[in-house]
Amino acid sequence: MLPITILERNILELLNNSTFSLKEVSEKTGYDKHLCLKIMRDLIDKKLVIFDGIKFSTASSIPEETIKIINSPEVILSETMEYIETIIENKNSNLFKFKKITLSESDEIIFNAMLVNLEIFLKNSHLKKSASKDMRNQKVVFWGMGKMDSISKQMIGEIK
Amino acid sequence: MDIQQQTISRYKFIFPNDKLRDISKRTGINLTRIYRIMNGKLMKVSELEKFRIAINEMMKMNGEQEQILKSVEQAIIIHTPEELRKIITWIERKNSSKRYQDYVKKFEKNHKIA
Repeated sequence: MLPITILERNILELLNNSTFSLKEVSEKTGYDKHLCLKIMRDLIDKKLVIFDGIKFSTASSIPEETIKIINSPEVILSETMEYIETIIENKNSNLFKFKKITLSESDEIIFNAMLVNLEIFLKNSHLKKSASKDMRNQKVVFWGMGKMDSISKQMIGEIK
Repeated sequence: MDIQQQTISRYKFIFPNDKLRDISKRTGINLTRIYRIMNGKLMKVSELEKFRIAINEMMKMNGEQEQILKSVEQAIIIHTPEELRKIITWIERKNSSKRYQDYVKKFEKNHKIA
């Protein structure tokens, strides 16, 4: 069984060190109130969230093993893939850009420098806004580059 | 997993509560023979076919459903447990998204009626 869904994780992240009512969770995530209630029920069943009658908060005694599973590289990777797949499948927008290109050595150095700059920019930008817990306006950003040679080798199982 | 085992496990997945008598009734195979088959006796091709007909009738499968079952059977044979785990996770994620979508749709529909 799936340890956690993306929607559950988003709510769990929202509730981290905070308590919110159902209405507040719905406002902050942008999810329909009834969907929030369904997700909350699932999270309570999984013993990850508690409800005091008014507000929801993360359970104080989540076993170390559960946290380890939820944050395992396999689970994070599968969530990342789900995000990317959802964005690619979005027919109404042109969010995903993909190109097969040949780069000169100097252009590759320039491109790598751009990627480093982008990463630093995103990290700093996130730090400025992360305290607001405004999940509704969160963005999903992805970037990167792969070498065709190693991708092909990985596909045929030469690289694990 | 051989074809006989695959067919029996698929049958058990679709009809989890069937007793030997129910299996006999559904497939038209003699009860004693069902008992033997369920205890590992090799099936005849005609019996295998009867099991398949019972499964297909229940599932009323369309092309895609038939195809996914075939792909899964193939995946079980060719992939490592680690690779299978990735496939399972992918399917489970798709299923959970669908469950949420259906939940919202169902609620909206009920809400409109009310």
